[in-house]
This record gives sequence, C-alpha cells and structure tokens, in this order.
Amino acid sequence: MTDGPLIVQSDKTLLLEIDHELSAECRHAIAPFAELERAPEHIHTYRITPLGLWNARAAHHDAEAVVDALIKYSRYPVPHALLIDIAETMARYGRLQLHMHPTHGLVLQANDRTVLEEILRSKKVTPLVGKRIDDDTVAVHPSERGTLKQALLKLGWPAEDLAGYVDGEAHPIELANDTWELRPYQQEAVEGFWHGGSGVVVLPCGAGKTIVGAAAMATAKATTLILVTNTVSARQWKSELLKRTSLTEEEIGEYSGARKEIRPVTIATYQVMTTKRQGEYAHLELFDARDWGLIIYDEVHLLPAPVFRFTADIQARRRLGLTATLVREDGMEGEVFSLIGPKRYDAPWKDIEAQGYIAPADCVEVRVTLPDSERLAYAMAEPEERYRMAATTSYKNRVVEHLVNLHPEDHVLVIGQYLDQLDEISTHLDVPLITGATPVKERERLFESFRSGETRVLVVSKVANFSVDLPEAGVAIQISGTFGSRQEEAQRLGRVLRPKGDKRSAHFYTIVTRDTVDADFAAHRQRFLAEQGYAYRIVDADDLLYGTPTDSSE
Amino acid sequence: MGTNRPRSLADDLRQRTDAQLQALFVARPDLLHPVPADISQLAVRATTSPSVTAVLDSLNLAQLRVCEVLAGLVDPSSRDDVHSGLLKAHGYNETAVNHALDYLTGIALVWGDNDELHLVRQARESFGAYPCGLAGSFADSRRQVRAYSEDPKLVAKTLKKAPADAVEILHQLLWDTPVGTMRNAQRAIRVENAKTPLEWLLAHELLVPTADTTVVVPREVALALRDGQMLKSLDTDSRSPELSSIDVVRINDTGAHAALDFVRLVETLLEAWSIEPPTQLRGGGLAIRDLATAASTLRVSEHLTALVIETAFAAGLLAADTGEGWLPTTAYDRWLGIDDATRWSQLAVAWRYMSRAPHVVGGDGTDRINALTANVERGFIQPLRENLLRIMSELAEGVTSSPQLIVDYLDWHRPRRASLVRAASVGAVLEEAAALGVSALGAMTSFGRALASGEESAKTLAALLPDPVDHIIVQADLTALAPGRLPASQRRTMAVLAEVESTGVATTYRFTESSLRRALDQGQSAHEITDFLSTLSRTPLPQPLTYLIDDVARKHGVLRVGVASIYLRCDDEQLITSVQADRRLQSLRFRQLAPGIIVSASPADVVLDKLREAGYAPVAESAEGTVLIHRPDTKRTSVRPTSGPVVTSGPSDRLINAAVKALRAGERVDTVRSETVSTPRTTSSETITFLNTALKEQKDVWIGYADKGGITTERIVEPLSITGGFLTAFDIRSNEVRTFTIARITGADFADHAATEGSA
Repeated sequence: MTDGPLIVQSDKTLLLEIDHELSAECRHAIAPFAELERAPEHIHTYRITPLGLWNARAAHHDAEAVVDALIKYSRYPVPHALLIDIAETMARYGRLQLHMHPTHGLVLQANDRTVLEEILRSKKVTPLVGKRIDDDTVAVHPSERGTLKQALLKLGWPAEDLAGYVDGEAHPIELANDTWELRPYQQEAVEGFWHGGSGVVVLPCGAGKTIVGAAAMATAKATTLILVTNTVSARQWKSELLKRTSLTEEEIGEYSGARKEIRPVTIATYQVMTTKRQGEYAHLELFDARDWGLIIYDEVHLLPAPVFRFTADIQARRRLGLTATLVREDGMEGEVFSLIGPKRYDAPWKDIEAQGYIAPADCVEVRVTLPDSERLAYAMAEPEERYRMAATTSYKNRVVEHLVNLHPEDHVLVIGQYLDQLDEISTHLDVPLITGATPVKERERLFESFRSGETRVLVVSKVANFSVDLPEAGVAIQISGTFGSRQEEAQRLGRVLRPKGDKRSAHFYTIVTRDTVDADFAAHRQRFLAEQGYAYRIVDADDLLYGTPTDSSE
Repeated sequence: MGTNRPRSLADDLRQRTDAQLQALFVARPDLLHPVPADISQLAVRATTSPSVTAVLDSLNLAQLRVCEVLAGLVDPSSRDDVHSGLLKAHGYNETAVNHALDYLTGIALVWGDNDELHLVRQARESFGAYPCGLAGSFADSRRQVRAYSEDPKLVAKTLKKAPADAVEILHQLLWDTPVGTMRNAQRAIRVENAKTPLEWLLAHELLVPTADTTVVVPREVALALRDGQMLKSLDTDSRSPELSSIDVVRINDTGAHAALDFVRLVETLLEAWSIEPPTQLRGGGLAIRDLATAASTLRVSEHLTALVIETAFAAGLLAADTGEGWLPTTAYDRWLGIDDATRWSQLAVAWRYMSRAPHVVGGDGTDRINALTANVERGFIQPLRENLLRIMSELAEGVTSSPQLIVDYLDWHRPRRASLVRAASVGAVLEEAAALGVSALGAMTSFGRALASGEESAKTLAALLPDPVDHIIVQADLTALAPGRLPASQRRTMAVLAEVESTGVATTYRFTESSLRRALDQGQSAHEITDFLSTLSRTPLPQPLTYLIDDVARKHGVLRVGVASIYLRCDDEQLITSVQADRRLQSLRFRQLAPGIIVSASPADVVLDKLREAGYAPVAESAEGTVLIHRPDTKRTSVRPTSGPVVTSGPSDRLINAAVKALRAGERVDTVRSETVSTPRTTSSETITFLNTALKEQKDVWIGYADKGGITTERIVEPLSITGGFLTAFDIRSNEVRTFTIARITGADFADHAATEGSA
C-alpha cells in the first residue's frame, strides 16, 4: 500500500492531507478536475463532479491523466467503479462539437452517431437545431448556440464549442506596465483564458481581478463591454483601466443609471442592464450597440438571470468571467459553465496569500449575550423579525466601540445590514456612514478621505459588499449580514485582504448574538471561512469588555 | 464396428462399454432419474424431447454446428460426408470436427458407424425446417432441378445468362434462410416471357414456389452454388475469457476495500432504517421514492443501493414487519457484533445463492420493478452467477477478464442459451461481484475464489483488511476525519457525536449543535466528549469545537421535563412541608418542585383519600385552577350505545365446556410438551387403576394410544368418564372430546410427569 497524501472516497470526495510532503504536488495534479470544497487547516476536501471533469476535458486533460493522478497519490486502492465513472463522464464531453461549417454555417457535429440520435430525440433540443446535413451533422441557427449548449449540458452531453469567435471591432489597447508587472498567476490566468477562448477565471478578492481583465483586453485589442455590479465599481474599473492601460478618458464610457455613454470600452452595470421599461429590458441592446470583441463579466457569481439569457445569444463573442467563487447561491453553476465558458484558471486564496499578494487575516467571532429584557422580546417575536432583533442588539455597539479602540492605528470598516443600526453606530462613534442612499459623489469623497487617512473609521451598509476598493482597511467588523450568505462573507473578508504597506495582518471581526438565529447564520458563514483555511477564534464579549482581554495576536 | 452395424440407437448403446455408458451418464445426468430399467428404456429416454433439448443446450458452438451439418445432410450420412461438406468452410479443422463427431456419438445424439451416422430425430428437428440454411430437395418433382442435381455445373452456366439482380437475389437466399416471399408465386412462367429477375429465376427453376407467396432455393441449386458446402464458416476455436494480467496484490487490496465498503453500506443503510424504516408497499416491496432516499443516504447509485438492499434481505438482516415497514432483524444485531470479514462472508454467501436479480430494479412506467418484491426473482440468475464465479475462478490468479469476453466465452460454449438478457445479466452480475469485492479490476480476488470454492472466505479476507486507524484529525471547520476504519466502539461513539458527511475508506464527520446535543442526551458529559476527542485526535482540538461543545452543554438540560400525576399547592409553605414530612403519607412519595408546590405520582383520588384520612382538608383543582367538587358515591360512566334485546336459546353446557377446555388447552399444550419423550408403559390393570385415580382427582393424564394400524401415538387427555372398557376424555391437543378403547391404551402417567421428563 502506498503512503500517498490523498484518500479517494467512493462517494467522489477526495481528502488531501496538507502536512504530507507530496501534498503540494498532489494538489497540482488534482486541481484541474476536482473542485476544492473546503480547505481547513489539516485536510482539504475536493469533490469530483461532472462539471469539474468537463472543465478538465475542456482544458485538454484526458481521463487517463485524471485516473493516473488519483492512483498515483492515493493512499488506498482507488474504488474501481469510481475510475470507470470518471472515464465515462469525461468521455461525454466533446462527443458533440459546435463547428463553423464553410457552407452550412454553424453546425453541431457528432463523432458518435448514437449520441446525436439520442439528443435529437429530446424535446428540448429539437426546436434548437435545423436540418440534418448528414448522418453526423445537424445545422444550428447561430442565435441558438448558447441555448443549445445549455440544453446539451442538462442532457449530460456537453458540447465542445469550436465554432470560434468574431474578432470584433479592433481597438488598440496596451498595458501601461512600465512601473508594475503582471503577477505570475495573473499572467497564467490571462493565458489560460485566451487559450480557451471563453471562460471563467477564479481569483480571490484582492488578487487583482481588474488587472486580469485589463490584460485580457490588451490581448484582444478590441472593443470591450465590461459588466460590473454597480456604479461605484464601474468608476473603480475606469480609474484602474486608466492607470493600467493605454486607454484614455475619452475611450472609456460609462453606461449606468446616471450616464449612457457608448465608447470603445464601455462599462455597464448589471442594474441598468436588467432595468425594465414597459415590461421590456430596455438596455439589453447595448450588447449589440457595437461589434464588441470581448465581454467581461465582473463578479460572475452575481450575474443576474436576464443577462444569462442575453449572453446565450452572443456566443460568438469572447467572454471572460471574473469571480472569487464559482459557488452561486442560486445553483446556476451549470449556466456559467455553458454560457460564459468552463473554468480557465483557479488559484486558492491561501496560495496567493502565501505568495504575499494578499494580506493574512485574523478572524475572530465575538459572541454577545442578549440582555434579559431583549431575550423575552426575542422569544415572542415573529420568526421573520427574529434575525433583525438578534442582529441589532444595542450591546453590539459597545463591542464595536471597544474593537475600534483596540486597533488605534488601523483603518476600520464597520459593515452591517440594517440602516437603523448603522445609523446608531455612526452616531455613537461619531464617524461617517455610507449607505445606498448616499449620493455617488459623497460616497467617493468619503472613500477618498478614508484612503487618505483623514477618516479612520467608516460605517458602511451592504453597498460596500462589492467591488469597492478600500486599500488600507486593516480591520473589518461585521455586525449583521444577509442571512448567512457565504458569498457575502467572501466579499467582506476581501475588504481587508488587500496587502498592507507594512505587512500587518488584517483583522476580521464578526459580532454575533449568542443563542439566536444570528448565531445560526453566523455558523454558516464561519464555515465558509474555515473551509477557506482561515482558522477563527470565538471570544465572549464579556471577556473582551471586562475580563482578561484575549490575545488578539497582533 | 463395421460388421456389427447398429440398427438402432438401442442397438448402438448395447454395444457400448461400461466406461462409455458411464461417460454418457456423466454428460447427461438427467438420464439417471430414475435409473432406466434396461438399455431400450435408456434409448427411449435419451431421445425424449426434454432430454435432447437439455443436451443440445450444453453443446458448444463447434459441436452444435457439426450437429447442424448432420441435420442438414440426408440421413444417414458418413463421416466423410460431414468432412467434405465442411472442407471449404472458413475455420474448418479436421481434428476439431472429428472431436465433435466423437463427442456427439458419445452423448448418444448420434449413433451408427462412420459410414452411416444417424442424428436422433428430435435433435434433427430442433434445427427447424432449414438446417444449414438448406431447403428440401426438388429433384423428384422438378425436371430442371433434377438436371441441376445431375450436373451441378449447369447452375453456374444458367446463371451466366441471368440478369444481375437475379444473381443478387439468389445469393441473398443462399446461406441463411432459403425462403423468399413474392406475390402470386405459383403462376406459370415461361422463360420467354419472364420480365422481372424473380420471374426469370422461377422460370429456370432456380427458385421454386412452395405456396402462393413463398419461394425457396431448391437444395440442389443451393449446394451447387455453395460448391457442396454445408456451412460458410465453422468456429472451432474455443474462447478464453482472459484479458490481461495484473498484480495480484493490487487486485486483492482493491477488492478488500470494496468488500469493506459493501459491509459499510449495508450497515449504514440498516442503521438508517432502524430509525426511519421505509413502509412496505401494499403489493409488497419498497417504494421507488424510498429507494431514491436510500441511495442518497448511501451516496451511491440506485443500482448499487438495490444490490445492498437485496443482499441484506437475502442474508436475513432485513425483513418486513407489519405496521412498521422494512426493519433490520435480530440477526442484524448478531451480525453487527461480529468482525468485518465474517460479516462480509455472510453477505457474500447470501448474494451467491440468492435467486434475486437486483439489476432489474427500477425502470419506467408499467415496467417498473420495485426492490424487495417477487418481481426481482429471476430463475436463471443464480445458475448464471454460479457459472460466472466458476469461469472467473478458473482463470489464473491475477488474470483479468471483461464482460464482453465472458459473454463471448459463454456464447461459444453455450450458444443455444445466448440471448440479450444473458449478455445484460452477465454485465450486471460482474458489477455485483465487483461491488462486493469478489472481483476487482476484472479479476477474481483471493477471498472471492475462496467464496466460489466454498472455503473460508472470511479468513482470507481478514488477512487482507487494512488495520483499523487509531486516530482522527479534527479541524476548525468543525469536521473530523478518520483516515481509515476506526475500531467498532470508537466508530459508534463518533457516529453519535457527529454527523457522517462522507464515507468510503475514510470517514468525515461534522460536529453540529444537534449532534452534540444527541450525545448529551445519551448521557455523555461535555467533559467526556472533550476527553474522548482529544485522546482520539492527532492534533489539538480547535478552539471553535471546544467552544461549541461547552456552549451546547451549557444550554443542555436547563429545561427539565418529568412526569407527575398530581400536584399539591398551598400558600402556606409550612403546611406543605408538614404534608411532605407526614409519615402516614409516605406511600404517596411527595417530591418538592418549588416552595409551596409538591408533586406525586399517585392518582388524584388516592391522594385525596389519603390526605383526608390523615386529617387534612384538600380540595381538587381543575386544569384551569378552579375548585372541583366531587360527590364520591355518584360516579357514572359515559353513555354507551345499547342494542335491542337478543333472544338466544343459550348454548348447551357441552358447548360451553368444550369452549373452555379449548381455551385451557391452548395454555397447557405450551407448558406440557412431551413430544420428545417416549410414551408411558403400564399394564392394562395398572392403567385402569390409574385412570380412575386421575378421574377422581381431576388430573390430566398422559397416555400412549395405539390406533387400528398398531401405531402408538401419545396424547394428553383429561378423563371425563370410564365405562365398559372405554375412556371418554377431552383430548387437549386435538381440542375435542373423544372416546378411547382402554385396551388400546399402552400406558398412562400424570401429564405433569411428562412435562418434567420432557424438560429434563
């Protein structure tokens, strides 16, 4: 029996022992096909899923390589049925291929006739294909390229899209990298994407996804449509592009609620794209407004359903998805796979942190006890009111104050869900507050003053969840959240993970009310942290405030 | 032979040596049941249709094809005829054909000598109307055909002038089925007015109509075109199921893990069903939904789940309980107590002998088959399983095979049994074998071989099982990993402390609030849990886990629930204390819950009475706290519906007595068992004295009683009367009053003696 670092379970989970000398090598071997499910301190769990295996096939890994990797690193004999299953699943990818036929245009071609017969019998596929050209080929209307890929994935026969891309309208874009360089992983990400044609790059928050986007644009050298989550994020992209590329102010347009500019590089928000006027999506024609050569989807895990629908229609354009996590809380991972493209690059947080590109973080959960008076009210509250009551207990304000004082040197972000609570804290601490209602100008002013150090503490609502670059936030204190959303947790942790000038470690505090739903939701979010390898400690608020102050590992 | 040319099969058999006859019986064991009286009877039996069918089924492809050649030739035919009819067949091999002919003769399908071989009629008929794809002869009825038979070259000559399509048609009918269909086949056509290729063929009698719509190629024409060949090809190469060869250690290791995995699957499933048993469908069996649930519990395919369920059922670990659904049996508890290897061997033996085919479970619509129903029974599956185990274990150690090779092997060795169902079942059974670890990577494991040969597979397996691991790894995300199999006791404790998240060789556990609460509910303390985990864990326990354990323990048991029948409350705490201290009321066992409140488990009326007896003046209280006033002498029950008067004549005393006795009998038969002891023996005078005593003392008597045929049975009776040599008594076992002839009573004793003797 070999003494490998990997345990292959018959239920398709892979357990990797991190302390094993071969673990790094093994991780490298299994990363292309296995999804990292969680990465706590000793044992990392990967899962083999059909999507993962197809991602690997798309990246030209064959079943033999996958099987070899498992056998090579496995500590125990690998269940034979699992190996057979892997081979069979992988063989399903690419049996069908989308090609551009010189005379018939877009065609679906099978190198296995029975598969073609099988899928053509499906009611979901029939309306999407045209006439049969020969035994192995059937015509596809170009507009159904995406929908067909979606349908085929659902049938378990994912098609390989080899139909190529339109170049789009050329536009000169260069990286202005005289003072900085692409980090090695960013370089790999861009290469992985370009080689694959379309697809998703997974990088942790703070790892410089915008730069990957800029580098992709510089490779494409074509007009680009960038879809981002909100206006602030759009401005962020713009300033980053101005800094990192040869693009000028005039070449970059903003397409948002406030402005509707269409320029060679246009940055649009999801919100404006999904705005309905008289029951119609009024702005979806933006996709056709120019002959785009590249479309970038920022935060692909938040991509709203209508954008998916429209993306299905523009399969001939190169698409780059950027995200910190492929986990979608709505379970639409399959849509991302078939419409944006397979995963092209992935690097776990801890690796990038180890390379010094993101700051290490100290995660602490502070537990407060509900005062007796509130406990009774909580017990009698309607279920839908309970979270709010537990999360906004006034006791938390004192803990926030204490924590803010605990880090006198650091920039502190206080993040919360409920405006009343945020308002109260902002008044209590006498610091500015940013919410959705804060005008964009004012927001930017405050952010700027936070960056410059004029303002040390900032209270923000969930507007700060996404894409706001606050480079010097060293401490984040979350006081309430969106019902245990893992993805929100990732974003918020991302707020403090940007590398600090002096290599200080970041602090991430979550204040949670004990014995309430607040704690239940927190457990769900904490699990995500632990799974990402961030060990966290639990501290009692009373100990923190009155008792022996716990070592906060400065 | 030669000079003694046999005239019949019987004649032939008579000339055979003992050794030859023995060989015949070995090959055709059905001829021995019953043993035939003489050779002619043997000959008759050997030619009965079932016996011939059975022996044909056992032929391999080469033998069967040679047999078919004999059927296609005119009876009798010589050995040389057979050879020349096959000479140009693809794959012809003289020795193999001779071997086949010898074998067919040996098993009495063929008799006669080399110049005159006869295939028994039933075998000949089994090849249908066109053996070797040849139709009958038309030489006698058709002039032109006769000409072809006299000069076979004429056929080719005639065909030279034929339209191209006609040649094509003829060739299509040449080897497989010589029959074609056409309309109005029997009309007269002359060569001159033949328009279509078919008409041309008919006109030249290269095709001959046999009915209004059918035409055949006459045997003479076919043989001429075939150049006298009976078969196009003859497959004489026996097949080997060997694929390749791999490391025996790897096979055994992989198999051992599969075996362990299978045992674990059975355990996991039955543990889940112990708590939430699935219901039994009205028609028996398990609902599709329950199968799907089980599959997701086990995290394996529904196919494998069906195998697990059916095997557990076959091993007697699972049974249907009316009202409860499908439940583990008490045998399951015993099974849990033994070591893994033995547990596996019990499952494997059950699998080997079960006549159920788990792979048929599932399907759609009306064809749907539910697990654990009679529809899963397949008569052919157990012999097939046995056969496959034999084939696989005949391969050398480390030699692998594949389903396709085994199907090919079977198709050659037992061509008459070949079918799509068999091919599919072979694949399924091999998958089962792999799931159980009987085979691994396509080869038989050492313990699989032991199973197939009926040896102690458990011992072989036990030596291969990995050593249990002695530690777990606990992580900050509140999971723990056992990187192998934990010893049973630790496994059980872990299963209580945490939820199992992933299973296989290793097990991952997740600690949750509810799993820890469950452990506390089962009597473990936070301290014990922490101790257990830190001893078992290779790494220090992460802080969030110890925090969680303490947190759950802190909340655990704060609310207390107990049972009390009544409470006693009083504003005067002093009074309550004195009631509780009152010695006269000790039997009520009062317990104080809070100042001013004590409870007791005794019913309210008893407590009230006792209190009053002791001189207190309690009143009862309703659930709302109001005072209840009782007048103790006027109790009433609720109104019950009554029916009108029923007039009966009343049962006779006899009936009543018999009914009572019948009731008693049921009791006594259980306590008085004497089946295992010999009947008492006493002389007839002793018997009469004894019976009288028993009658007087109204005691049960144990007697031996000879029936008319002289066979003695023993009975337990209750004497009712003795008159004129007859004893009237109630027979407890048969539950009726009977009259016994005293002369036929072989002996008597008290029934309780029988009981003591019986239990001694």
